This record gives sequence, C-alpha cells and structure tokens, in this order.
Amino acid sequence: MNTITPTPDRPRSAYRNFYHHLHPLRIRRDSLRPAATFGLGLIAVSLVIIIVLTGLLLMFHYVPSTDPTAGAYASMQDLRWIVPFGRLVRAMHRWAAHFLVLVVVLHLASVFLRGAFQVPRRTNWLCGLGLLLLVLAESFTGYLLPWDQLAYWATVVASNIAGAVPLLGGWLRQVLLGGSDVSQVTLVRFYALHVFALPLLMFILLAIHLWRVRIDGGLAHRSENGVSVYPSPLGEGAAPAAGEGLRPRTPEPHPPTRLSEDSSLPTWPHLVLREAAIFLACLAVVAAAALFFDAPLGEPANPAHAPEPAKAAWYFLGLQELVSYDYGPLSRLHWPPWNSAGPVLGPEFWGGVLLPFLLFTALCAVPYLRAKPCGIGIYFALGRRWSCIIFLAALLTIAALTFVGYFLRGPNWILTWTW
Amino acid sequence: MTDPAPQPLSRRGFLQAAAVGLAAVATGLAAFMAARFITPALPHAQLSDFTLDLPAAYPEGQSFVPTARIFIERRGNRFRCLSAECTHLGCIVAWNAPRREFDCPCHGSVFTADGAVLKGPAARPLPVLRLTRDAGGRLLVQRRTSVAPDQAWITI
Repeated sequence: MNTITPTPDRPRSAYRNFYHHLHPLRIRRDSLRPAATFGLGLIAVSLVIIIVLTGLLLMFHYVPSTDPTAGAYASMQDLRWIVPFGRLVRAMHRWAAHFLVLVVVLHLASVFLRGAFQVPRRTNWLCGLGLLLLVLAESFTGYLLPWDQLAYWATVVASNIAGAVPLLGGWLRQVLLGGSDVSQVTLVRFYALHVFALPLLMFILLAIHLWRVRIDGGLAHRSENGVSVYPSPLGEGAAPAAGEGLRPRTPEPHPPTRLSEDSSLPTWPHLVLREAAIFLACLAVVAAAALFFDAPLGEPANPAHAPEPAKAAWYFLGLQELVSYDYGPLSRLHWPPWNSAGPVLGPEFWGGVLLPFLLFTALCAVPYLRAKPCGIGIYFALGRRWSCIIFLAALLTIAALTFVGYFLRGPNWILTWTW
Repeated sequence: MTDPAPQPLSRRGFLQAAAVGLAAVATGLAAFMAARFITPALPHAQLSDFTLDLPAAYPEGQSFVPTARIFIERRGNRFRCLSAECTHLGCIVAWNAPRREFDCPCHGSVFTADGAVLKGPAARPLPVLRLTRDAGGRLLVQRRTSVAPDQAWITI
C-alpha cells in the first residue's frame, strides 16, 4: 500500500530516489554559481572516487614485499612494462592523489575566506580538518609503497620526525616502522594503513562531512547573516553553548525544501548534472596528466645510500624546509628541560613537530575564537579581514617554503639558483 | 534555586553506572592490548650487533660498511667506528675526503671526522660506537652502544 502523498513541495522522487538521501530537493541558485565555492568540495570527492577505483586495480598487482625480484619494486616495473594500461592506472592514482592534496588545501582556504567555518558549521570544519590529516597520511603511506630510493628515504626522515615527539615519539616511531629501521615490516604496516585503516576512517569522516553539509542548512550563504537561527538564552544570534552535536541547528527541519521558487532550483537535475560534469572533467584532467607525465620510479631502495638531495613529495617539502633550519639556542634545549643529560630537542622537534602542531591547533580553534558569526558566505568579509589576512599570510609562507624546497635546494640541501 | 536533596542510588542508576564503567574498562583494556599488539617485540641487541671483517681488510682512512651503516676509520693499527646515520633525521652521511668531514645529503648537516657537529641542523654528534673483536679476531660493532670519544680508538 502506497502511503506517500506527493506534493509540489515533495515530489515522488523525494521518497524513491537514493540521490535525495544525499541532497536536498532544492538548492539556492546562488550556491550553484561557479564562483560560490569553485566546486572544490565536489572536485575533491571526484578525485577520491578516481583514487579508490585506480587503487583497487593496483591492488590486483601490487606485492607488499621488499624482495627485489618478486616484491613491491618488481610489481612497479611490471605495471610499467608488462601489465596492459598498468602505467596509465598507476600514473592516474598518483596524479589524482597529488591533485587531491592541492584541492583540499584550496577547499580549506575557500571555506575559511568565505567564513563558512562559523556556527553552525563548526563541527564540519573540524571534520574537514580531520579529513585533511587523513589525506596527508594516505599520501605519506602511499609514498613508501613503490619501495624506491625516494620512498625509502622519505620514510626514514618522516619516521624520525615522528620520533621527535616528546614522550610518545620513540614508541610512535617503533610502531610505525615495526622495529628500529625501515624494513619489510614497515612496508606491510604502511600497506595495511594505506589500503584499509586510513580509507576506512576517511570513508566514515567523509560520510559525516557530506551529511553535515545538509544538516547545517546547505552551503554557507550571505542570507544567513543577521538571522537569528539559533534561539538561545544567551541572546540574539549567540551560539548555543552546549549540545552543538550532530543535530539540526536550523529552525526548519529541512530548510532548503522551503526555499522559494525564485531563489532556488530543484537539485535534480540542476545539481546532479553539475556534479557529473565536474567528475568527468576531473577524470579527463587526471587521465591527461597520466598520459603525458608518467609516475616516476627511482632506483630500488638502498638503505646504505641516501640520494642527493633526498627530497620528500612536494606537499611535505615545506615541512622538510622547517626541519632543515638551525633553531639556534632552541636546538640545544634538553628534554625534559630540567634534565641536562636528556636528549636534545633539535630542529626536528621545533620545525617538524611543534610548528605544525601549533598551526593545526590554530586551525581547529579558529571557529571558536569569535562568539558571533560574521560575514557568512562572503569572501573577504570586512568584519573578518584580519583573520583572512593572517590566514593568507600563513598559506603564502607554506607555499614559499615549498617553492624553496622544490626549486632552490640542491645536493646536500644547499641553496642553489637553478636558472 | 536550592540543590535537590541527594538521592540514594537506585538499582537502575547503579546498573547504568556499572555498565558504563565496565564498558570503559573493557575499551581501555582492548586499547592497551591493541597498543601492545602493534608494538614490535624484537630484542634490539640482536639486530644491532654486526660482525665485520678482519682488521686487515680495512685500508688506511675511512671505510663505509653498508650493512652496518657505519664508518670504520683506520690509522695504522688503531681503529675507530662512527655511526653513519645522521643524528638529525637518519640519512646516511658521506665522507668528504678533501675537506675531511661528513656531509649529510638530506638537510645539509656537516660533522667533523670525530663526529662533532660543524654545521646544523643536526643538534647531536655522530655516535662513536663500541668496537671489539670476536674470537676469530674479526671486528665486532655494537650498533646501539656508544662510547665516550676518549675511548673511541682500539689498538690491534
């Protein structure tokens, strides 16, 4: 027996179509403008889909072993020379992963600059930061798997940075490596993290991330400014002090369904067509990049010889810059501070652990620093101009460090002008 | 507002608290077991002792031993062993013979022939490792045992 009564507000498709479990029925015309978000979130999801599918294909050939003739390195060579389309699939996986790091950083910047991290989207901002960490962890664990020189030495360096964390560092490093050196055990652990543990966490967080977009009332929009959508004893527009959990915080249960005919469009087909177009464009760009630029493969890993210079992937070069500086008297402080016989806190702690930790903590704290939302959905809103300036300065600093690490560091990590 | 009078713990309240407490203990135990499970249990000493060649196999000056990742320095009949792992982030340093120093390719640290830091970012000297001889007269190095610089040299 059919108990559904379709209305103009809720057509039959609202009940029968899985798509509408992910999306509201109507979406603001304004949110569909390309410049509203530059589609960065959708691009990131598209890239994740490409990465998962190509990764699944790669798993049919990849052997997580250090055996020189039948192990990881040999399977890379097989993908390159023997497996039909192997080179293409591997390069697509790699390029999509590189693009993903870039796109999630731009996505973060876009959300920050248009103030979309403020109430009621604070939880989703934290969720997004968690996803950023997972993307970086996936990139890092994936980097070791080809078992070539770059992979090996990037992991040696990164695991020693992990070892510089006070108190927990030694244990963390041992657990990551499965011993005291990068070895076969490490390769299996990174493989398990890369293909199962991290993707599982990512899938859960991504599901919450996308669901929260809907729960929080769709994309951040300027019409939310000055509207008291949070009835609270604290006063007009004040954020609820407690209970800001996974519950709708908007006055209507499904606000976008109440959007007026003038200001909104049905998501089917207007949003779904755009999503399909973005996915296909991502696929085309990744495929083209993979066809024209092969994924590199260095010499097989050699624990006795570090390449010159040993560079991490571009997205970790800013970090590598930070650990290569001499922090002067700070580098000679001991841990714990009152024990002068204890280990020295070198640059690996100051630049590799403390600075990134402070940066990430600041990002987490940002939505909680201002009681009253300001300039929601408006890029560079005047009321948030200082936070926007500081954010852009930090982002440019990271970009500059990456540039220096990528282009200006020669053998022995000496500054060189390459042009 | 006055505080409500303290209620005696009801049966339902006690069972709820007990269930939550047990769940917390079980989760803690499981987390502890998992943490122990993924902690490698290999005895380090076994992996850190390397038997090298007879002393005669090493020429005058610095020789790199890839398997143990160390440098053996020979001066006449005296031998010394330095770790080749940079104390900054673990890359293998290279002996720069003309300048008589160790250079790290990863972040540019420079060490003297004695292992002292000439230039950062490394904050600690290269460890001097304990060098002994086994029954057959071959050199034996203990990768994880460092000695004071004044005990570095052994005479053969």
